[in-house]
Amino acid sequence: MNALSVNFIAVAAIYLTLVLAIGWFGLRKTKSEEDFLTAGRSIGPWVGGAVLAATQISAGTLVGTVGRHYATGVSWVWVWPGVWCGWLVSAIFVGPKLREVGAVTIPEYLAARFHSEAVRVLSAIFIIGAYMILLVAQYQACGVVFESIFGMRPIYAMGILAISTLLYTTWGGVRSSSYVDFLQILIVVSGLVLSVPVLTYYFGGISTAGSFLKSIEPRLVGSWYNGKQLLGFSLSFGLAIAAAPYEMVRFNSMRDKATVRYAIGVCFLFQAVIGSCVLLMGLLTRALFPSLPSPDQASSIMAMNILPSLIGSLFMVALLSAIMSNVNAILLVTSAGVSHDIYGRCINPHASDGVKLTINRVSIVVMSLFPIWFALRRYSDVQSIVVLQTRFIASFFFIPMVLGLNTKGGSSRSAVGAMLGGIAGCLCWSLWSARHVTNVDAVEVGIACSLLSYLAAKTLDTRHDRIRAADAEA
Amino acid sequence: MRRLRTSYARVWRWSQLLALVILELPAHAQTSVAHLAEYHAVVTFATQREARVTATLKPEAGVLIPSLLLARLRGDHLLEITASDAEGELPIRTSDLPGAVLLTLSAPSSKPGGLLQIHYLVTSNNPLERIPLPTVSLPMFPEQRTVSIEAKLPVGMTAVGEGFPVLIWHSPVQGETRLFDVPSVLAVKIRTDNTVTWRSRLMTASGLSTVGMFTFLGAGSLFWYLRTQMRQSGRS
Repeated sequence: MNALSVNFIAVAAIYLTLVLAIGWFGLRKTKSEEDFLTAGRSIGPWVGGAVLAATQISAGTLVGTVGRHYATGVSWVWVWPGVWCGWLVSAIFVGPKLREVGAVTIPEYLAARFHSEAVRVLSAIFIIGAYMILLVAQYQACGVVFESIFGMRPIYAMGILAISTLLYTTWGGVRSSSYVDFLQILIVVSGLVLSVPVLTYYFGGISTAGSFLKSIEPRLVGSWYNGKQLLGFSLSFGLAIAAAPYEMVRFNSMRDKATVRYAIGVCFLFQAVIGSCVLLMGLLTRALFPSLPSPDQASSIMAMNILPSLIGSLFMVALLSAIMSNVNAILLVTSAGVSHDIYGRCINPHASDGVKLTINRVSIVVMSLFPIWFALRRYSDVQSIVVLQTRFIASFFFIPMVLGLNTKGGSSRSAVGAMLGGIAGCLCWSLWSARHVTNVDAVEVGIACSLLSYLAAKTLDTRHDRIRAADAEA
Repeated sequence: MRRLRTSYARVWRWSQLLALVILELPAHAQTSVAHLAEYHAVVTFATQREARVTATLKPEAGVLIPSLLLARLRGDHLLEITASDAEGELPIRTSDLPGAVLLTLSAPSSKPGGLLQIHYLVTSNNPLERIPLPTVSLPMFPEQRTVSIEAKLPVGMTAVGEGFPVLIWHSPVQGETRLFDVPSVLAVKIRTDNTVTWRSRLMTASGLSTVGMFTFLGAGSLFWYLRTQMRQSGRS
């Protein structure tokens, strides 16, 4: 066993003990389903901001984005402005308004807004489907990391991830996950901030590394992607974040509207640091190890072979904690969809709080195991799976969420139309563009279809209303 | 019960099919990739300012190494670059790129899948801290530690700090490591035995980052403690 493995086990053991302690604390404080899903609406701005950042920073960032920078260089950094625009939209048009409404889950809000149980069930189903794809990416990243460090078979790594995340998710719900997220983001930021100077030093400076990368492939320090491709990626991430159900659930746990805005500002701060570090890590790892077999390995190879063993261990724990945080957030959102929106409304509307809480915990267990089968098959690199998921979320969710919160009118038909139109447009375009060269991203088609369906259904409804009103007058 | 099982199987089959369709979307066309089978580099320091490198590369059977890159590091000079295979010296052309030297082999004289050796001298006006190693665009075979890097120091010299990649020192003057992938540099700080102090051991990348980590944890804990104390005093 090498120095990294020993240090990693020690750091990970300390971290897991802290996580379980927080989970136990959350369990003691959780008395009802609402308490489980919203932490009694008690989270402040700093913990809230860290939670928002931790929820977004996942394997997609620390494995996928590092890998993307490794493979394609600087230009992927232009996706971040899209992410931040998404946060701005969220801070102005979504977060505070949603917090004011005070719904426990996002489908619950949509059902109340459009006066329709069909909207609730459909949105819950779509959320569960889309987030299962994201879970696949998280499990796959975890498998790659453990395989690189310990030579462990990915299925065991995924099993460990599922069990450890399950414990603190099923115990304490949003309260414990919020405090664990706060701890995680501190570890992620410290791990990243300490790693970059070490990498820079080993290659003899950023400008030397830049020149070497230019010699490997000029596009690494120039434009790998063209403007249209970057716009597509930015839109996928930005629109998905602006309407991301698992981020919105976090707004519900915050004290009030002002706390939500403040927390989004804090979240920006964390993300700016993380985004810059991740860019430099990807580029410097490429300079130090120019020919890795897979870009997904860049993070783990960097931690294992480049960083000093203690910092490498801290980075690996940060990475695993980010994966756990993301898995936890996804499980909370999807299980809420099952227990609160599908079971609690459609299957057994008279179910007690206790029964719904049990259903919630059972669904967490089932959904944490389901994606392992798919993750073991490694369909694509981690970041591509994340991009795919953001495309779907943006396509079916952005229009009904943002228009629903900020405009009057719109019926259940327009909401259902927007969701079905968005997902159909995105899916069909993805299938078509897999075989044809195109500069139009699936998310652009998805959003356009969703908006058109929403407006078309709204216009039809208005006409129907006018005809009915005229009939009634007659 | 059988009906339930059949419908369960059908749902499972359909969910698998749907996942296959969705997850296959981002998959790019998989092309077969050629690999490097073995890589061995020996860096022999003559003095603090001069080192000779011999790198031996073996591609997988039937694969040809068309070119190699040597990083151009600040203050380093690359001299006497030659290439050879089992049959003797090979003609090689060097071209200067912005941050590297490109070594191009004449294809007819190098055998596909055969051993290739690159030799060169690295000199600097200051003590050498980074030695460029030749890299190729071929990845190594996954899950096999077939890359070995060896450093040999003259008697009376010693390595300070961990360096990159981390070498295991079998004796004060000979260190070695085995890796999964080929690094582009060997970063090692060497000093004469009588100039090594506790300060020079601490002022390394690993030493400073470890101190940084403990400072961060200490400052964070102190901040947390003081905040809790202030809140408690505010309440009382």
